[in-house]
Amino acid sequence: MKRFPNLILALLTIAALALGALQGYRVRNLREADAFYRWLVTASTQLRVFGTITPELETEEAERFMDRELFDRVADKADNTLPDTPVLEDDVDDATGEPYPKLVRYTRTLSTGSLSEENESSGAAIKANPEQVKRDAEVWRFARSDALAQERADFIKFRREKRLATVGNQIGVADIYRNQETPVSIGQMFLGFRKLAAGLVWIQVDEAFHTGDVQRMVPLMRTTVLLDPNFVDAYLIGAWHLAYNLTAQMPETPEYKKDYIPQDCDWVGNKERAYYAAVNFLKDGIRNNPRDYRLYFDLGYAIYAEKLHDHMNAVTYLTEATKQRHESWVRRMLYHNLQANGQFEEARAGWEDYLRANPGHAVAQRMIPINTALIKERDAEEFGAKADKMALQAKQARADGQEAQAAQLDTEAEELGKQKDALLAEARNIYTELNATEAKGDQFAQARLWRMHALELHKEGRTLEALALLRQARMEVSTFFDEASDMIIDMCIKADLPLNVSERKRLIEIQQTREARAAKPIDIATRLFQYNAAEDVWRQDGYENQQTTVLTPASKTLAALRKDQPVIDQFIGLGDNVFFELSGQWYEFHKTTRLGNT
Amino acid sequence: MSIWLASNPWLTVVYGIIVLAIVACVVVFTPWSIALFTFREGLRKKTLIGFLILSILVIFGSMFMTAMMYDTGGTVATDVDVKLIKDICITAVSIFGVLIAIFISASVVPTEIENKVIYTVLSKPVRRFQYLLGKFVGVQITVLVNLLLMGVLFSIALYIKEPIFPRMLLYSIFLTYFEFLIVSAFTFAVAAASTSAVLPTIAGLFIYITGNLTQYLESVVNRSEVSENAADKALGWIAWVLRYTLPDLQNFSLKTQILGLQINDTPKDIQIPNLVVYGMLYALAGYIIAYWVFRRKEL
Repeated sequence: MKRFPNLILALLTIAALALGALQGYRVRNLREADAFYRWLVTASTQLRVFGTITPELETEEAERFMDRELFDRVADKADNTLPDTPVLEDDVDDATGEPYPKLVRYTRTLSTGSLSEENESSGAAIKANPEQVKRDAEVWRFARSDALAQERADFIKFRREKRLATVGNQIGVADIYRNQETPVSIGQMFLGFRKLAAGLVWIQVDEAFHTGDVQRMVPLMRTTVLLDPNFVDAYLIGAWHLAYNLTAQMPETPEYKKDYIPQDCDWVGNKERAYYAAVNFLKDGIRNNPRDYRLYFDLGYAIYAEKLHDHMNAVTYLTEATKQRHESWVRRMLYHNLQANGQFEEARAGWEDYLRANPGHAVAQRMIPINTALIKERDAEEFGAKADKMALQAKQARADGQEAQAAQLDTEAEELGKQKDALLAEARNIYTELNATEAKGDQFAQARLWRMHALELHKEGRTLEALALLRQARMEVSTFFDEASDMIIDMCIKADLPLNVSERKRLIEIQQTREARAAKPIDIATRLFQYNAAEDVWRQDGYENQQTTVLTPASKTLAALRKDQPVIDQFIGLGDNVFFELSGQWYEFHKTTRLGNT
Repeated sequence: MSIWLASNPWLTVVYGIIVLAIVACVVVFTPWSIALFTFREGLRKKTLIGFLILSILVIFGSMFMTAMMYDTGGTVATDVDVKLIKDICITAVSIFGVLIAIFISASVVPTEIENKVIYTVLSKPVRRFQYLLGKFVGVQITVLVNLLLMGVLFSIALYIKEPIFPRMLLYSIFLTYFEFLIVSAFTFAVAAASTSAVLPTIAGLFIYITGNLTQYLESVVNRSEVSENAADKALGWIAWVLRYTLPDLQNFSLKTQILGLQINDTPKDIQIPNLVVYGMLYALAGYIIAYWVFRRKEL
């Protein structure tokens, strides 16, 4: 030091800077591993919920993206690297019955159990499941391990080349500040204070909302999440504005003027465009924050269930919301939507579980018998349909002179009819009992009783009495209005009775919609679909009375197919009855039941 | 090789030893009387008190800003106001904190040269590196006390809005300090070469801004890779060296991330200690440079 002080100090400076640079390299590596870990959680969640990592992409488009290939490479390595854990109940894919890959099992949020409302909303429930903490730490160690060095490097490369759809591409989040080729990123422009900038832009959104400047809100909202993709509240409130406030003054688009948008899997008018903008906004939020239940909940309940009345998708997202750490009402909304989607058994099982965790819970106590009665009503309808079919066959057999066969069919039809009556009687008893327990009566039970009574009157030929009952019932129970109105129109047409103005208007609109749809075939994924107005059925070209598998929104086969081939959503979105072919197999989809929607 | 460097556990042990050595040297060689004098002097500076008052105004002002926001509804509860308070406060702490760090680091040595106190001190049995170390430690104590004060006020503001102990805030403030440490060390190095506080102050601001923009150099490197031009290649090489040599203050953006950390978010267990080591190593480099220029300085 005394002989060559400058040299030694220069060496010391270089050594300190070199060590700092090396440590900087390690820090940068950790930050990249952090981004990689987040992507793994997002991709695993997408795979678990949708069966595919990039559900929004068309097949041709998907080829450009490397999400699946990269994820599969990581999943393969995870199978050998991550420690073995027992396969829990939620680790099994409901659709296929197979356990998820180990990586997906590790990255999913573990349930905190059937907590009571009191415990669930308290601070105690906010603590993560200890097993979850352990699994997260394992995946984090795995994400930054040497074993995944190549995959991490590829992840950075693909992200830079914009070939990863799961890092938030809906509004170009990846394009702006995650892209290394962008000359100056937004993050750098704000010297690391972009979260504050996001907050300040959000204050402008709030101001625009309260001054009624709705048009200005949308770009501002998008800027906010562009600046801070982890601003979950911005996604939630932004989607709420899009779906509720923006559409509040919009007139409804008549059905016959709507366009079919395959990406949205729906017929879309002005309001629906805003609803699907909200859907995409929330999906972008989910990609950036895959473990926040609020995003799944708002998407499932506030948009799909409440606005789009798409209970099938509502169930998908609400189920996922309940798999994250959530508040107690989330499960209640899931069970209501399971019921609305015709999945009465699942809804009843859910309410039973809820009642065990919350003894004496009034809603659960009410919903268990309601779902039991709905199961009986549904089974009775099935028996009735079979009995009617057999009666027809018997008639045909008798006409053909096959008296013995006709007699046997009649006996079977009679037996089915008895079973149907017995089930309906049981359902009626449940509703009557439920109605009696409430001082003011139970609205749902009352509506179902009126419905049953109206159907009996109609069957006995007392259609005018049935109509009077239904007209009164729909006024008494608002949630029964749509179902009762449809029944009234149906009965009037069958009995050749005149309709009132609003009913005639509704019929005309249905007719116009059918004509418009019949005039224009729809091309989806190289298949051409034609609408048959007389039968209210969409058929894919090439259908000639082939053997079909029947699908309903509640069927597990449909759930499995949707995960396996997401394009199916574009087919079944066409209408209430759709015939289509998928991998050489023909299917018929029917979205008919109103049971449980009341 | 790169992976070996990135995740080798032995290297982590080496870093641990280096950090412990730095701490031990500071504890053993610091003339604490100089450090405490510098701290007391720092507290008396009107500029610093002004920054502190401004930061307090902004921290509590954030509550008024969010108080004017309405609940816009929705189906689930949102905490936009709490998030905004966190963002505004951490920004205020960062901006005013770094200004305090720059001003005090830039002024301690030049002021003593200006008012000739340095001659009295250096005439005592104190070596120059010890004098500088005392000054540097004194500056750090001042910065820490100011930061803690702002952190306490931030916690109070947050607690009023959301009565939960803000544990993550402690980590955030802790990380913020190490960002200041880097800026402060290099500003101190410039100040050691200067006779006036103006130049090091400007240099400190420049260091802070540049430190936040070093990621820009990466895009220069990327573009030079696809260019055929020799000049571009040379520029790319220089950018590469600078990218890996200059401190990247954006790495400390983790301080804002962890404030909004979800329970199931990425574990931050090893990122925080790594950033601490990062800050200390660059601070060491800054201090060595400071001593290098101050060693033979004509006073």
